Amino acid sequence: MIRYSLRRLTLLLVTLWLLTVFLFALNYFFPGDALTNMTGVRSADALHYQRLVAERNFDGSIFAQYLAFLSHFMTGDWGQSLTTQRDVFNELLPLFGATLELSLLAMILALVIGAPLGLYAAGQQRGTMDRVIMGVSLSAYSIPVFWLAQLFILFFAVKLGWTPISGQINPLFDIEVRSGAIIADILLSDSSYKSAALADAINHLWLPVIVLAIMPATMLMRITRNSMLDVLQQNFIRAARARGLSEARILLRHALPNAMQPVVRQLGLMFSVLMSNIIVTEVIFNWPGIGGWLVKSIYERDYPVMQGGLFAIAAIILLVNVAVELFHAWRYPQVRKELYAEH
Amino acid sequence: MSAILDIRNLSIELATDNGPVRVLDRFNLQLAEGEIHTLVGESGSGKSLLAKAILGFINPRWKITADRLWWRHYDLLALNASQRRIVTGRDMAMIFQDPSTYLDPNDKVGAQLRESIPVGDLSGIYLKRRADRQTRAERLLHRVGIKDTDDVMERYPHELSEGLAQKISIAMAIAHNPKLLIADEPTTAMEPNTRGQIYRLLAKLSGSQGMSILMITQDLTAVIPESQRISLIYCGQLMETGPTEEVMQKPYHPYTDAMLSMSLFNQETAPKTRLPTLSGAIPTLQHMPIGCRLGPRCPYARSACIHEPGLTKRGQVEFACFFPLREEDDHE
Amino acid sequence: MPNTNIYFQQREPSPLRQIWLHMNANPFAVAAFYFLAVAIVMMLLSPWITPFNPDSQFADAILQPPSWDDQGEIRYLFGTDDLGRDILSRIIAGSVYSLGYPLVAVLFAALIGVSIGAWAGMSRGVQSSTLNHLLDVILSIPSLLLALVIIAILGPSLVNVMFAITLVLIPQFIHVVHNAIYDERYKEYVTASRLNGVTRWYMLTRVIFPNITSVLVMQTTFALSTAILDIAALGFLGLGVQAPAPEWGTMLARSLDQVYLSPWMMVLPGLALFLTILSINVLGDSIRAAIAERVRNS
Repeated sequence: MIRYSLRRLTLLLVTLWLLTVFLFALNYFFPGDALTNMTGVRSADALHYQRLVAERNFDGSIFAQYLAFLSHFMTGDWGQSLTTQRDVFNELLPLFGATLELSLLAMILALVIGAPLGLYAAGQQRGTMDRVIMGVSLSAYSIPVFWLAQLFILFFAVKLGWTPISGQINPLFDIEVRSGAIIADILLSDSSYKSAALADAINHLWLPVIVLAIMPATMLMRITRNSMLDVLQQNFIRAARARGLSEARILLRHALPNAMQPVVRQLGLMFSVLMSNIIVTEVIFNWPGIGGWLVKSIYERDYPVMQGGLFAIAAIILLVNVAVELFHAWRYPQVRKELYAEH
Repeated sequence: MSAILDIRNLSIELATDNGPVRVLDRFNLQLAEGEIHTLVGESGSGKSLLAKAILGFINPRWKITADRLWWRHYDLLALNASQRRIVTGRDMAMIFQDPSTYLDPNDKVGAQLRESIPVGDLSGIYLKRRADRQTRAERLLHRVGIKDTDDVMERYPHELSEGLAQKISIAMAIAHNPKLLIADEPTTAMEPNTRGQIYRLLAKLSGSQGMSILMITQDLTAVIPESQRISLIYCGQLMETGPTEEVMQKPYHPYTDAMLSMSLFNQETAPKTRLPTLSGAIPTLQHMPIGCRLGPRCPYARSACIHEPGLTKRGQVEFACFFPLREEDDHE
Repeated sequence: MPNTNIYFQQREPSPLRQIWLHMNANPFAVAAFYFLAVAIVMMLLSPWITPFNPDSQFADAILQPPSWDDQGEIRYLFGTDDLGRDILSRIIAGSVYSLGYPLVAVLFAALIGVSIGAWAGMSRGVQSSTLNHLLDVILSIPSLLLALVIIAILGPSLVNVMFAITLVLIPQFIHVVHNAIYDERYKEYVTASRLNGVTRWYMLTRVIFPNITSVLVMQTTFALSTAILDIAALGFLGLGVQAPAPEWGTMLARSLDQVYLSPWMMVLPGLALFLTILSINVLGDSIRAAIAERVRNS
């Protein structure tokens, strides 16, 4: 396990390093001056610009430039925004918190809905409820997330008026931004309207969370059902039955752990899908997160911001994927054998 | 002889895309208490299916019909799934051909072994029961010839060799002292010396504890001397059954004769002569001949063989052939 | 002429034919297949079958509801948008952008990806294992994000979107083909042909390829639904096909401002998108089920 973990972590580090190389290269691909793209300082600001040329080794070779870029990048100097002139890294942190809150809640909701429904469908194999659940999940999986968001807004916010159309919280609640995750911020704040603010935040939150949770939930349902049916066909389950073990014991001790194995393996993929959807969803719901920020920076050709957003999203996806893989290998030891076994 | 396992005219049909295929055709088997019965048949002859049908590994694609499928005083076909599981779980056990697929891949060997020890055999408070379980599991492993018990119990199934996995599945099978043990080619994955060890263990169990054993094997060379009776099966049909000695020495059925002359033991074959074999190949499941399924390959077949021969009884031996190799026992 | 086929002979259908037979047994898959076929024919004929020019604006019929509405007119079957353009014509014309372009992108991506994947699968050693690790990583990053990066470099336009989507789909094909070949190449039947001394080219095209077609078909349907979704999402974000073009995602983005006045402007293009993706997914799903069935039976 230690050897496996080290291999995975090395791969993660190499990938993150490749990502920085890619970001560095992007500065030259983007239209305009590479140094401006990197730092957000225009050459019109001559004094500042000259200082940066020296700081970032822009007189030196491309290799020296990269080393300077890397050292600045590692210390959190991600440049400043071309439009607002604000420091990218500091601006990014609360946005990151907001995105993380949304994605975590959606992921939890997806797990809570998806896995039990999948198991239930497996229990009703080829029955009416199985067909209904599988049909609904395939249909829901096919709905483009932006259309789903629009339909939900049209129905729940416009027609029924149950929830605000967009935003994170009513700006009247003056909540100090610390982590960006609104619920955490409210709980941390010393506002006198804590419960009212919390209710308002949840009122804003539930619709985007549901929109985001639907796609991963449908994926979970299908994977859980199929793997459960697969496991129940396996010889060791039949042997356990023949040995006279109780059905409950077979399900809990042998079928379920094995059925969850493909589910765990796919969690990383589900998170990737979720992050891809979150970009669009944040734009629609005007959510102050990384995704909306990234899209806005593309409109405005704000290259330092774009790099920051890109790195943040890619890094969190990679981290989650590696974490899922490590957990999977730790929980299901026979996977490690497959990974070592070379033909 | 009172049979504890009594099978009369058991048929199994598989539903395939091209209609049902009868893989086991009106099969008969009687097994007495403490008896070792060897079932010999080539691969695909339906012998493993028979074992699974006895144990109740019911697949929805199988259709099982029988005049009688009785285990002691239970009519197995009349029981519902959970009742049947209680009966088979208490009285029967099976050792499988590919043992590693019958172990839960995500559970340690020790845990699975301990799980197969019935709760009723233990007494005392929780901690004592746990310790008892552990010692009993160790003793089981010793019995099947595993010395390094602590190491093996901490392993996962994928870390076992096939032979070791087979020994563990044997240990799990005998954990609750079943009345009937079905051993489906139990020693194919083992080295010859452990093979002997396992056979001796099985023979001892049958002798000392009255365990009946249905031994399933591919060829006659693997029939052990302790086996009292033997049945030969070809393409799902019973060919000949009877006491091992008699069938092996003086077969009635052409198939038994062919199998005997094909086996390499007790045989004086001149060097560089062809080994005697039956002509032709085993037919595929979809293209079973009508009547006696051996018909097209049988050197003695005549036109009557397109009808199915019933069982003929000669003394202790029963066979399904219109034209037996020898007539009424010639008590020489 | 006498029938020479006297003996009953059981033919094992080819893998693709087995999938086809399996699909035929599922009414939803058949419906999805016909829906897609009709949609593709409609897309090909779209310049001739749209009732109106999709860009012509009828000043007398702005925000006309669909014909089944009380205030609707049969002239504009699906109603008109805020500039008085016929929605039905726009949806039909939009299928070129939302179905035709993804098809082309998938075709190119498949050609390039399958070639590279086949090469990687047949080569052994370090290069293919490195490639695999690298692809694992790239594939964990969502295709939409990669497409966004490429658009950010090149700027939003139809050509760039096509380029971005094709580029993003290629790694998926490489990965799938590489893994499929890798799984097959150590099976006994491949070893047997190797011992027969066949050339690598023959091995790839005649021995291995027929056995991975079904996987390839499944990947293609998956890539197609990804491509449609991504192009529509980029259009929706305003970073893809640009505004006057009747792309379905772009139409959805426009409808956001009108959602109070005319919800059908949002419902209809979205429905077209949804049904297209759904039918592709149903097809893909039944192919997956058929493959699983085949594996179980063998």
